[in-house]
Amino acid sequence: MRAAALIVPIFAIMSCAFLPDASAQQPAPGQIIFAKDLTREQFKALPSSQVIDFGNERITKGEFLDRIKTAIADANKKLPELKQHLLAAFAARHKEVVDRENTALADGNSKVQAEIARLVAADADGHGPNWDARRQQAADILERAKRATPEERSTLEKQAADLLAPTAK
Amino acid sequence: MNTRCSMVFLAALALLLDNAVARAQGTITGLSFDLPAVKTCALETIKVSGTGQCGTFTVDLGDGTPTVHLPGHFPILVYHAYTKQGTYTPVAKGQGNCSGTASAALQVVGPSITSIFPFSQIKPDGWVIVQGENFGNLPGKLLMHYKTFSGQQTEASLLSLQWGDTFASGMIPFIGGLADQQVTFTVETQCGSQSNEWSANFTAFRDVQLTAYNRIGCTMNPGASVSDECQGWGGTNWPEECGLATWGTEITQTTGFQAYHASGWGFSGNSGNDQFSVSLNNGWVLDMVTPLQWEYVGGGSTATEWFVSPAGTSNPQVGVPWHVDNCGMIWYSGDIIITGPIGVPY
Repeated sequence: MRAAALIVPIFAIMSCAFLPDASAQQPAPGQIIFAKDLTREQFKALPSSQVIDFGNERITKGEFLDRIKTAIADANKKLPELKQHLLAAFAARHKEVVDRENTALADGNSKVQAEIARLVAADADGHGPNWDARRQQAADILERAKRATPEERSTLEKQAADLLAPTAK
Repeated sequence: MNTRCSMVFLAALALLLDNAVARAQGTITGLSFDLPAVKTCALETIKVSGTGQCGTFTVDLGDGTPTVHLPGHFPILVYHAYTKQGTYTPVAKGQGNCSGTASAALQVVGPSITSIFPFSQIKPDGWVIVQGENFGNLPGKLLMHYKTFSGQQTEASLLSLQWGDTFASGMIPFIGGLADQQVTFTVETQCGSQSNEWSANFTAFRDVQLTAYNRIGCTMNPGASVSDECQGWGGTNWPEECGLATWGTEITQTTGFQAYHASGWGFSGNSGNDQFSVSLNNGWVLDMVTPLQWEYVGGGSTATEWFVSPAGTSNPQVGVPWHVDNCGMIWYSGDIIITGPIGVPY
């Protein structure tokens, strides 16, 4: 980058003597103009048929501008595709993140659920046979007890407590 | 009431009293418990002792529930489940020719959370186990207390409960619009007794979004000229010396960033650097920036490298160095993908 920056001004100084003055007359027909030596105003002033040396090729100003027009038209056609690429990239990332979240959650939940299963089994084991059924029956009785008279409630609560008490295996 | 009715009533009352005296001559002498301390919801057996036989006596359970009226032979057993922790003093008191009063203090202990299972998933659809004591044998409620994004304190019951006296577990419902925060869990026993609160860090489910176009600011170095735009469109600013006045069809961006640079005549073209930035809130941070999409006219136009803030930044920046040929143009676009709590605005 530094080398290029140095070369251009030096070359511009060396070729300065051969430059047409922008305010002066047009270059003679057939005269080659070097692009690197042109100022903005000089370029604007050139006729469309003027041949310009662009370093790697020589084409007329008209051909150069036509080439830009074509390039712009081609680029313009591609613009909608560019946004589609962005949206596709987002969709892929969205899926990746959601999948990652769900996978991490599933992994974490499996550890917790294993522990829950262990706790439930230990709890049932400590309460004796038919623990789930007894517990459900006790819950139903206690629901009835909520609407009973004080004396009935006492009896119902006793029934529920008997169901919930540990029994021999 | 006429005289005849009064006489019938008094005769009946005398007969009743006579029968009661003949049947019930008792004294309450004591009140004791099956267990000296009991858990909430668990049945306590209250034993009323005495001598003789009581026709009727009452037991005030001490917790505001209606008084129990009981007849019978001593000892009399009364069953009751207390729903709130504390110290209660049931009182048995004779009625009619049943004399005596007895009472005793009873300690009732409530549910207590002592820990949370370390692998608990404190997030939407996550399973949680709280551990402790005195939860009771029947399922109650496992509650998570949290603040909504609008600041309202509320609670949610965990789903699919599994329950034991020393643990309660369930799944946090999928709640959107919650930022990461400290929440508390409580256990409510089957009979309504509340436990202590236990704090834990809630992590919201992560969403990813494209940053809205109008939330992204930009600066250019060098500053704007007639042919430079960032977060804008340079369609009408093509340098006139290049012989073109317009550029394509404008695309309205709803997300992401973009810039347009066109160079007028100059053998070395033009170079610069664009900086895009966005300020994120409520736990939203940068996830990534999409690969740059760009289109150009001119062989030396580039916008291929950039500076991007590291992921996790709440004020991400994107820098795009560019170069444009003489009479060249470059247009580029990218999206800033951000991640944050689902349902919470950024």
